[in-house]
Amino acid sequence: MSAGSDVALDVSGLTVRFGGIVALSEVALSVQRGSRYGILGPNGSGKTTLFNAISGLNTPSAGRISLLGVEVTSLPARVRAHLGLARTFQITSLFPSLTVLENVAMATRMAEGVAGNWWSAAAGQTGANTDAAAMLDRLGIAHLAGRPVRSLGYGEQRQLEIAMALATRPSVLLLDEPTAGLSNTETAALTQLVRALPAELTILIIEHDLGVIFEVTDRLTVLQNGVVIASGPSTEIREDPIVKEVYLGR
Amino acid sequence: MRFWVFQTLNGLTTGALLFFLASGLTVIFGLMRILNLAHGALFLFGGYVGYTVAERTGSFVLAVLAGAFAAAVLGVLIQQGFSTSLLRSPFNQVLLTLGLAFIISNAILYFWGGTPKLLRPPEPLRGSREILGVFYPQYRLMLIALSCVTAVILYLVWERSRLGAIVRACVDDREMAAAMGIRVDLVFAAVFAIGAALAGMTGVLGAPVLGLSIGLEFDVLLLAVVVVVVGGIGSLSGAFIASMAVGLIDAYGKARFPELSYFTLFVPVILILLVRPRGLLGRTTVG
Amino acid sequence: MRIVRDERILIAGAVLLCAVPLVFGNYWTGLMTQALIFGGVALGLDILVGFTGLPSLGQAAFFGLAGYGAAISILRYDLNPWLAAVVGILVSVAIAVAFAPLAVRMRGLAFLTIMLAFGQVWWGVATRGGSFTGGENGLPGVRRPSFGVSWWDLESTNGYYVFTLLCTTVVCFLLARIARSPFGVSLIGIRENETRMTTIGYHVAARRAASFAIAAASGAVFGILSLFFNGYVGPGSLDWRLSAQFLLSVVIGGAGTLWGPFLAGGGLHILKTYVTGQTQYWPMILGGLYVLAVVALPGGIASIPALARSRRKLLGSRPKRPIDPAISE
Repeated sequence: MSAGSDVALDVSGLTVRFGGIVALSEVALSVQRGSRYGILGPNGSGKTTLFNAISGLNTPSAGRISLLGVEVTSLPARVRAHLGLARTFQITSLFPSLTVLENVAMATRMAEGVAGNWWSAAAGQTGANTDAAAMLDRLGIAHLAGRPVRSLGYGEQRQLEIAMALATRPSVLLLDEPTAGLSNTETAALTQLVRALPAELTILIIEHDLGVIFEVTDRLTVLQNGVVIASGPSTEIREDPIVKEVYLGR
Repeated sequence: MRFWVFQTLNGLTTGALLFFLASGLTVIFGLMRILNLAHGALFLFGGYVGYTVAERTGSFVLAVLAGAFAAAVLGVLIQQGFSTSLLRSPFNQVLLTLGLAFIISNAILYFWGGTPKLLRPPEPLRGSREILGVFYPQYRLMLIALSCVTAVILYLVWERSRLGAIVRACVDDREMAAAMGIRVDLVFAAVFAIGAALAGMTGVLGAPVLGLSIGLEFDVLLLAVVVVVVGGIGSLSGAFIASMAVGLIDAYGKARFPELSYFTLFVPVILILLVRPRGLLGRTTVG
Repeated sequence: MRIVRDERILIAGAVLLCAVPLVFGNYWTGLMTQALIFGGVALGLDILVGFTGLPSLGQAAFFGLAGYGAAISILRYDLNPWLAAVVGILVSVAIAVAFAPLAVRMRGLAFLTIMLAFGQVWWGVATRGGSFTGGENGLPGVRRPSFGVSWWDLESTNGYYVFTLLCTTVVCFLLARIARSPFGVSLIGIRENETRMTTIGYHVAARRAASFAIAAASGAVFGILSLFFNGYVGPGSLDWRLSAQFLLSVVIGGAGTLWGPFLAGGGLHILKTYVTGQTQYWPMILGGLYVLAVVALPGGIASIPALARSRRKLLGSRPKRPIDPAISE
């Protein structure tokens, strides 16, 4: 199905059931390396379920997922992370009792390969800590490094979310509604950030903010009730009457 | 064959007592997310109060009612102390309820002394009766029957009555229930009182079978907690099934392999939890 | 190897505690020996309970299993006490490692209960084990090991105290290192946000199992120390009530702080021993203490320094400039 190493993520026939409810049905998509791929759809259409399936947090009842050419359908989430997958969560998912720097360091230590060390102090892992500090700097929150996460504002927490995901040096990044709840200024800043991400990084982004989607993405898939109703280049989908109806009609 | 009938009846008797105790515990936990480790102490307190009432008045029925009532009052007092946000942490709950259990059981020692007390079944229920080919104490048969009746009553109240619906609403969504005008705090107090009353009642009802002695409250607490977790937190039917199962396994185990009595009981418990961490009929994940 | 501030405090404390036999008589020295043991068990348990977030009511199982393993080796197989100690620890740890993958599939109350059941299984084996385990009476008559030198006699109260102090310091030092390491911090991450840890690439189940084994191993070591102190092991060493005491030590001390549980573990033991000797109403006092602890110190003993600091901030130093709400940082 996939054309060698050009395809970063390939999903086919994906069906996810929760008890009697079918959350996703026969979903298929193919994301090229370096692509900025958007996932659109009304609430409850299965977008986060799709991300959960890709990252390994739920078990599909049917279908196949392949990441960077490797079949991952039956592989646990942490293995997919090691293959180069990272994600942010729709509901901010951090370590509340640790500081901002420690949050990111948790990820950089894994990337550095020192996460299993049980003898030296975590605080003394200069490599991982420097990387973490650099990541915070990149996201403009370096000044918050020593603060406990609890004291951060919502927008800052969302930035930390992304910092943590990037800290594992992923090849494929899943962003789940990164601008949810952000002000216009914060949204603009975040959009700039996403656009500035390395070109080799493959990005999938779930978003409700259509402005962000059409500015950032080159291809889109639109979901409704767990089914793909449209898929293709962003510019085309923008004009698609079905999509317009789903989003603007009624 | 008669041996097994006998053991089965033993198991069902234990199961009956366990159910009375565990039903209150599971509902309190299911509703208020409080694991009341003082439940055993309430059981013992009710038992001793009932004993004294029986001694003074000669009436077993009065003793049961007195034991239930006394435990209910004490229970509500305890519950009022829970209405603080301190108790969000499960650790603090364990600490607080265990501390109260120590205080209560030690107070029992103070008021009633350390010698184990004997309470005889009421006159009409003494002696044995023939059932399924064996002679079995009538009192215990009454306990088994009563547990089934209680289970049915509790089930009907829970599933079919307005009160039950209100309580279930509070369990499912506390904020929503409050928004709908339900006095959640009153519901909590009432449920706690009923649970405590059940515990106290069990203390009296169980006295002819288990006796009344210091230390008993923790032995029964251990089993009650196991029953609640295995049956599924918040599930009355789970508590019933688990109580009977635990009672039967314990009886058969003790009868067949007396050397391994704890082994035969707790290994199945471990296995059940491994397979179903929610408990047999639990609705939410335990923990 | 850099020695961190906390470790310096630990070593300083240990050095200070060396003075105990010089100041106190045999009774208190013996009591302090036990306090060290109980404090150590609580500290080890804190790794599992406070850091990893798995509340165990089965710590006494590993504590007692080690004691039984060693005692049986000595009494029945005539093993040298040092060797028996190693055997005891290995038996306890082996059982822990075997059970760990299963146990850590549970969380919260289910985990608590399964560990409770686990402990009771072994309690049952001990009480029903006939002459092999000594049954209800346990196994008395266990002799302490010996260094074979006259200047360190483990038979004497002081000699054994110093030995216990040394072992406790080493074990606690190790545990503190582990707690501060990337592995230790990852346990905190697992406790707070398992999903995030998984998506970053951490093997959550394996780390949980490892922390389980670590807590069990430390319990085993102190179980041996306790065995040799008493010269005896019995079902009481495996009893769930002892497990409850360990768990409560962690809670009262302040879960996740290590030193809080250590102080609470030792302190509770001293208090309990003292009060038990005074009155038969010691459970009431103990119970009252628990209730007070929840009401007055929800964060445990370990929260006292922080509380003291914030109190000082409120009452203490005068600001250099009047604080103007209009001036923002």
